Amino acid sequence: MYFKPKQLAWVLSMAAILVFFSSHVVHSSNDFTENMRASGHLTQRVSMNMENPPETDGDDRYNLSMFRSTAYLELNGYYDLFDFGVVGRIDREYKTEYLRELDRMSNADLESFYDDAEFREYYVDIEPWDNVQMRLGKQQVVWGRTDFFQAMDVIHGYDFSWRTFLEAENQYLRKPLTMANAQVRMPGGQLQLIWIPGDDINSEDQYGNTYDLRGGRWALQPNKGFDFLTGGVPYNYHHSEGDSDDDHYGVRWTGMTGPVEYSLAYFYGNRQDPVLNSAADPYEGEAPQNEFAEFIFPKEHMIGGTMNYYFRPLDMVLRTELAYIFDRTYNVGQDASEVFAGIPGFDGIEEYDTVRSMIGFDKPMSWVKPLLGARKDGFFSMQLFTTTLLDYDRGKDEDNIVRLAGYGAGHYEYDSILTGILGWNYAGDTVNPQLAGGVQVNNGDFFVIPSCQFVLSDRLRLYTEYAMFFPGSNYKEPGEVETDTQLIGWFENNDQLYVRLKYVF
Amino acid sequence: MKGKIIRKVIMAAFLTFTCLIFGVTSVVSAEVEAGDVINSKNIDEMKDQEFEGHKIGDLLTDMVEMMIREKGLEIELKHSEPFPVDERWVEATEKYADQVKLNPETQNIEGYVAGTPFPDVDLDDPNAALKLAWNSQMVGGFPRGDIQWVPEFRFLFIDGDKGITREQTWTYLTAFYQGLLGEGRPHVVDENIYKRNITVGLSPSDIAGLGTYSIRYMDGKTDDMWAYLKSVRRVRRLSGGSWMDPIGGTDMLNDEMEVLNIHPSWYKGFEVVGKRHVLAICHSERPSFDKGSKSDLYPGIDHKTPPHWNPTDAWEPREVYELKAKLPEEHPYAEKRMYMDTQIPLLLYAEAYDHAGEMWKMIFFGMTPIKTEDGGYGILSNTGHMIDFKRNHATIFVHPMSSTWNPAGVDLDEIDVHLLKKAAQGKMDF
Repeated sequence: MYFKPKQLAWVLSMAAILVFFSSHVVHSSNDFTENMRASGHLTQRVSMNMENPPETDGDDRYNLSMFRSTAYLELNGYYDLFDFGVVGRIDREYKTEYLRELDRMSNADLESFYDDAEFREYYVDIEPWDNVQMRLGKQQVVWGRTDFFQAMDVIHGYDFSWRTFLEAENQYLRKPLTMANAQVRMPGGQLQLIWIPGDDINSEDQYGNTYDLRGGRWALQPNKGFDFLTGGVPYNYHHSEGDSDDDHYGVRWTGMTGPVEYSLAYFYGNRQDPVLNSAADPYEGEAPQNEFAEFIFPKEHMIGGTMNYYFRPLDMVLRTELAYIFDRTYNVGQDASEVFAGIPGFDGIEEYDTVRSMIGFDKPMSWVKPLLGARKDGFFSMQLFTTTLLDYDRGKDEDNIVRLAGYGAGHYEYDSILTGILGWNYAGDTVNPQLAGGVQVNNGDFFVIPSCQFVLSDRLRLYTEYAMFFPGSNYKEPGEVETDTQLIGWFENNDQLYVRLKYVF
Repeated sequence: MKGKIIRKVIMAAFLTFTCLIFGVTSVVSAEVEAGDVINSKNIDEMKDQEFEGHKIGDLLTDMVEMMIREKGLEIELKHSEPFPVDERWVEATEKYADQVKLNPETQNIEGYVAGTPFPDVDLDDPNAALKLAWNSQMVGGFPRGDIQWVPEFRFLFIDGDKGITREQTWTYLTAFYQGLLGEGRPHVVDENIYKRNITVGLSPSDIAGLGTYSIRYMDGKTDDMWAYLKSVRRVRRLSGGSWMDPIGGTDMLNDEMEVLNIHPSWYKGFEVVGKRHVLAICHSERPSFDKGSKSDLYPGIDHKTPPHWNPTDAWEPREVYELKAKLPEEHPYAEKRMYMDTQIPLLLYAEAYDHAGEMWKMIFFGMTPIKTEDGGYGILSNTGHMIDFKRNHATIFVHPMSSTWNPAGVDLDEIDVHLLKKAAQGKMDF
């Protein structure tokens, strides 16, 4: 990894703070190290294609799609006047036969794409005043109460390039940002203020969600083996309406009123998912830098809130979340025969105020004890996640807005996905099966993910997962012109068996 | 002459009486001494012998006797001594006990302020068992302190054949909101709340940063709970209805922490079997977790000898109330017997039986009297043994003696979900 000048300035500033405080509170190296705590894990991840992707020549079913080794170390120090945290991660991938084939097709150097070595987090915590805690540095801040998806959780982008959005432990996918994060405890709750300075404090690719646009194992069907970024549609992080050099900021209040826990938030920052800025109708008049097309992350204003309540008569927690995004950007142009370059979504961008909402509940399930022989109540969670486009003109927009550039499927006015999780335990919680699933309410496409975590010993954890996608006939074959590929269809022919062996310390 | 005869008769009578006394006692029972050990080899011989005026056999509950005979338990005897008592607790009990009333319909108490709610329980009282249960619950202030701060404790997961298979390190903070005795605090901080607890995992890394925050209420409604999940970096609210389930992967149910961790109304009721004497660990002297040791981290446990879970501390005779819990139908146990000290309303141990009447679990604690940070007294659980005979498995709670009762610097109003997040990041320190 390397630092740009301003990033280096941040790091040096924090180092100076550390040294300054250290000189006041640390009298010997022993004092300093005694207040440190280190933890981490060594992890081997392996995944296997359980279907044959149609993009490749041969039959790649049962071929390994991932062989990824990770070393993860977290170091925390706790002192009278300050605390600090450093999180480092090194990822190295062995290029499997399948990845070599995708690499040959895409010429994208996938190995460099998947390999990584970074200080994911480094921050200093200080309490300059009573009831005020400040965290300065590279960190993760998570808002909201939604599983799988993001409504109010908009501060960070996620790196979905090496693992799908279904990864449960999303701290490993979230892209940390250098920021100032102040939390002020007040009567009745807590106020949080976030400021993410622009000007290259964070590298540009730390913003927004990263998808596999290089034609790798999580490229959406039928794009495996095709590198969009070098094939004509690069990222542009500096569009005037979505410049990563601009400041981002937000504020959140969390509190309790009676039995109801709630939060209210506002955030101004980049859209998490990129949209396509096309030469056909440049967004805000600013043409793509390559005069064809580019992915941009327009700025958005989001106001949102969450509520949860423990409903005792049914022993369930009810939770809800709502985010209102002003002028959210969407690509338009469904009909490939009429749009620019013959690619759906290349006809420009239109804006719609958008509401992303979640309503769900969590409930212990006692029936798993007699029925499944579990040792204790199971955990069941269900949520309905809906994206609503306001001012949606059914006569016009149904045939215009695309769900994703490159696909001809329209964006629903009410796009709803119902998800559920059931987990239970055996053998003193050393065998922990889980069944997760989701269905796109609009078209019936669904996914099912059975998994099981095993505690093999004091230090060894084994996790197995089988991700299966069932888009019916709603998917896109190579070369096909279609109008029906929604979320689940993007993962057609990409069922994966996933095994993770982790040594924890 | 007459006097001589009388003297001879008296002498003969005295000698006869003396011989009789010594003869009888030598036949009936011999007095064992502190330091003597009861084990599987000598239990039959020792059962009829006495210690502090009690037959050894009478001091052993069925499960303790089974553990000696079949599970390698060796009990070293020590003389009993009273627990030190916090004078503030005595004064509060004298001052407020008369105003405490039990509502048999709600199984709740009314008018409680501080001290023991029912210091003089008549065993003929139809509500005696419920009153004793309430005494065992209202231990904030003394013996459990206003605030319990345990910066580090471990759960040892023990396989009866293999020994210690896993270790987890946690930290916890419990604050009571009723019956407080500390200077500068009201006796009742919040009349609706019984206690709040924050527990956070420290190691290994898969539990580091995993934390829970819970609120126990006075009116008997189920707990409010939250969890901080580091893997997703956010707090999730949980339902509090699974109080009969095991805690994580341990052998302990949620309602078994310190033997009885419920609002008394959650059980169908209680029954007093009677008073008796049992052996218990009440002045634990061996550290359960000797952090600095290079030879043996856990000297309070005989973890090198199968079944690897027996305590090495000495046991003393204690007078106890034997209670039976009337459990809900859905409770895993069919029967739960509990033994509560009569001097201090502490539950020393419990024995659980399954629906076939078989011995299932034994839960016992090694108590240690401590000085609280504010100059009073408290009683700390130095060790906690949760033994599942059916699984041949145990979970043992151990900690270095860094735990404190009533530390300064804890704001009771700030024990909330925000502190949970802070604690999960390792920042809970007093």
